[in-house]
Amino acid sequence: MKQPLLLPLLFSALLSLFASVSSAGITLSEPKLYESDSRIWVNVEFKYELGNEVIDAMKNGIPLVFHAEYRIEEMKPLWEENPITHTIEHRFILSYREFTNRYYLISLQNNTHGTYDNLSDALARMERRHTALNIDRNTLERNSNYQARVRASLDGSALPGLIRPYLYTPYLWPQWKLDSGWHTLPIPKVKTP
Amino acid sequence: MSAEKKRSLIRHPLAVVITTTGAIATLAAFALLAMAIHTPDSIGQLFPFIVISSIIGLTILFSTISLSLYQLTRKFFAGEAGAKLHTRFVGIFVSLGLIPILIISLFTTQILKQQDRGEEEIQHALEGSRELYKTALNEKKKRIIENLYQLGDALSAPPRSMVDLLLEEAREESKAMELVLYDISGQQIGFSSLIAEPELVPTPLDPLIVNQVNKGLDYHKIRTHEEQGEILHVVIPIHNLRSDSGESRILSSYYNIPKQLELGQQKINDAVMRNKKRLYLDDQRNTVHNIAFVLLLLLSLLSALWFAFYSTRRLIAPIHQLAKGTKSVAAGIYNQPITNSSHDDLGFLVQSFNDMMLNLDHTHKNLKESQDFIEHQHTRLEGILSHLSSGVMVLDPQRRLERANTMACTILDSKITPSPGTPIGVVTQDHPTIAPLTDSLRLHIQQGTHEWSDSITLTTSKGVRHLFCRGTSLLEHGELEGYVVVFDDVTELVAAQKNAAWSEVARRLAHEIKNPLTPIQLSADRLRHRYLSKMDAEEGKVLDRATHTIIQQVDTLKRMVQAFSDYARAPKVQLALVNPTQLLEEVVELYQAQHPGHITLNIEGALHEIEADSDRLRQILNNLIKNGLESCGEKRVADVTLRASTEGATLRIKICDNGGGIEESLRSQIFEPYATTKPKGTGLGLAIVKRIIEEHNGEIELIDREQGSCFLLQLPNRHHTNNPNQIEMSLEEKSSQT
Repeated sequence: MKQPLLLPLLFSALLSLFASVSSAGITLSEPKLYESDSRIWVNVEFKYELGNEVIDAMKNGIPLVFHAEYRIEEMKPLWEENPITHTIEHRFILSYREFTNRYYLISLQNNTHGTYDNLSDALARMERRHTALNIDRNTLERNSNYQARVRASLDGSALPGLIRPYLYTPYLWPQWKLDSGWHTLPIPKVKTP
Repeated sequence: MSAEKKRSLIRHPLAVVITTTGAIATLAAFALLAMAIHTPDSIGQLFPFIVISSIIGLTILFSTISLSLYQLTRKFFAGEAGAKLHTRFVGIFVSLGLIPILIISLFTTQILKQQDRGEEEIQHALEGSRELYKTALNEKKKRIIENLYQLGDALSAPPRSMVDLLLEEAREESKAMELVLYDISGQQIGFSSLIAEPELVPTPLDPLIVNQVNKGLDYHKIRTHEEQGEILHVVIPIHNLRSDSGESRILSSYYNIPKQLELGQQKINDAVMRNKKRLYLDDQRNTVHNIAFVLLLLLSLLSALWFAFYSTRRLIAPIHQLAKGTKSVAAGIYNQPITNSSHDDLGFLVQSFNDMMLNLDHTHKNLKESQDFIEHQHTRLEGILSHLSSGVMVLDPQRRLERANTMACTILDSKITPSPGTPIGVVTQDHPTIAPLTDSLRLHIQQGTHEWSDSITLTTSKGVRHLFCRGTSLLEHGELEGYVVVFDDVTELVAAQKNAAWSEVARRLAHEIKNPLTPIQLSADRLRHRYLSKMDAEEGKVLDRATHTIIQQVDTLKRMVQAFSDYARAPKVQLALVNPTQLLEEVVELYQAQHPGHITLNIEGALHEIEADSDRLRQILNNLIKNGLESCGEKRVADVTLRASTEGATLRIKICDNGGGIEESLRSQIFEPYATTKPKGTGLGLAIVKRIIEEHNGEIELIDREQGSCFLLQLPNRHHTNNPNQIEMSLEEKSSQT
């Protein structure tokens, strides 16, 4: 009688574990490349989901520095490194104030800050769609191939040394795997007139 | 190359690689852990390497220990040499290694726990401070609210046109940053502010606040202003109590939090957060330290275990080798020295063992050589003894039979098997026929004769045998080592001697008697013819009878002399190819005519031609058949059966009768001259038969039978020599030797 139940239980436990693991992280949705005659811009939306361990760290005075990176790279053969032609970085510092029980978010790009009653509001502010990269097309070589790359992650270098093990061994601490990874958008080549 | 050697060639480098990898990984893990503990900030970068090197080190250590444990357990239960000692040593080493590690780890855990408790107390104190600050802030709020209510009294009645002015005064008086008056629905009536400009379209008050205030409740909250920082937002209801036409209003105000409180709050917040952060980081440090501690503990434990196995194996190896060497020595293997790699006491022991083994090997080889030499000598002696025509018996000083060669058994007609410790007397009891020999031996030993010779007569199943014995005492350095008896069967020689003697007698008798017989017979015949007619009847009758007797007896004497002559001077054999079937049939036909139904011939298969003298063979057959027919005496004729066959290269003829047979006492001498069962026989017939058979290199023997007698003739198909004279020569030589 016990055996038929054992497998479904085990399966559901694994599923729940997988769900709990996969719920935390940074995901990137709808990355889009827009272009006009003269300009190219990248529009992307990030979604931040923080696990309990990360929230716990934040509530214990560890400010979290997130950075969204945008790059335009000139594509080279495999054995050569792609040179970065344009780069821009958005940094957010998310912290918690115990005294007021509020979350404090600083955007270093605009040098603005705000306090939020709950975490979801603060994260929503971070997730707000914005056009991060907007470049002049003429700055790109006509005969070269280019690609846009986007990534959002938790900046490990801004964390205290004792927290970094979690970030550097994400296979042991899945909740600390706060990195969307690089997403690549090819930039269509402009034909030589 | 053996499979074991091939496997070892693969296994050894693999083991070296694995051990080296494990050692490097473990040392790296130790080094990284030490670095991480010493500089905690670097733990982030080091942690992945710590984890990887620890996992590699632990895996290899665990696998190696498991394998060692498995091998040790297998050896232990297999009862291999040194396994118990190995197990004991491992136990001791493991205890020595583990106990301090466990004690230290327990103490360390306790110390870490105590540190945690101290930090929590500080946290509690800080929480208390924060509560105190909150109380102070609430007091401030209370005073502000009381002040606002006083202002509210002044702002409840004035008309809307006067409100802004009054609000300006009130704001200055109350030191508020902003005062805004709303009607009961939340629409702005008046506005005075230091932190914001009036809007063209005033923003109504938040309906939630309006709702709360309309219920008669105050609203207050700390808000963040981009420029002013944290400010206190307080909203109160204003009721017009002076006139019935007055309306209820809402007064919203923003106050700066007093700098002292704000700084205090900031400081407390910072202190709390800093402390929380420190505690949190302490927790993390503890976690990391715990992980590091567990890794260190595991690495230390497994390293200690591995070292225990390794050092014990190294320590036990010479003992194990010694045990194996001892087993080899016990199994008789002396040429496998033990590999000695150490220079300590055990190394000295191994070296001594190797020396001992070499000495043993040398001694064993010498012993083996001596043994082989003795074996060789023994085999050689056995070979010589077994090929000797003489019988040899060796006795120890206690007269126990040590050795008897094959010929001894053949001559004595007894299967004497020497068994250690069996006295010759016991052997005699088992084989009574050899009693004359052992009696003679005992007699000479008792007499103390060192060398002696004797002629002994034994009665065996083959008949009476004559032995010539020579005995001697074996002395070595004056000590008696035993006795040796050598004996020969001289029966044939005695018989040949007798034959020779009888031949000589016969020849002389023939020579001396035969010559006068004819004159005697002629004289008697002449006497008879001359005087018989002249005598009267009575005297004539006497003369006739006397001369007749003389003539008759002379005839008898002549026949006897002729027989002697035949025996003494047997004509030389004239060898030719003879068809034995034809010969047998001719002889038998002759007798069948005389005695029909009394003689039977059975020829089995085709008989091969033989090389023989047909006349002499015919003489033999005649003699034997005649003897057989006459074996019942004069009363009746006996039945004779002849059976002939060829077996290999030998013609076998068996002639049997159903007569009276031969007496037991006569059986051994039946082929000697004058041995006869017939009253009027000369006793030379069988002697002549035997002689003719021997001239043909054949054999004749009397076979035991219940009734009658039976002779078996065996004649070779071919003679070994083409010179028939050689037969006579050999006989003469035999006689001369005798």
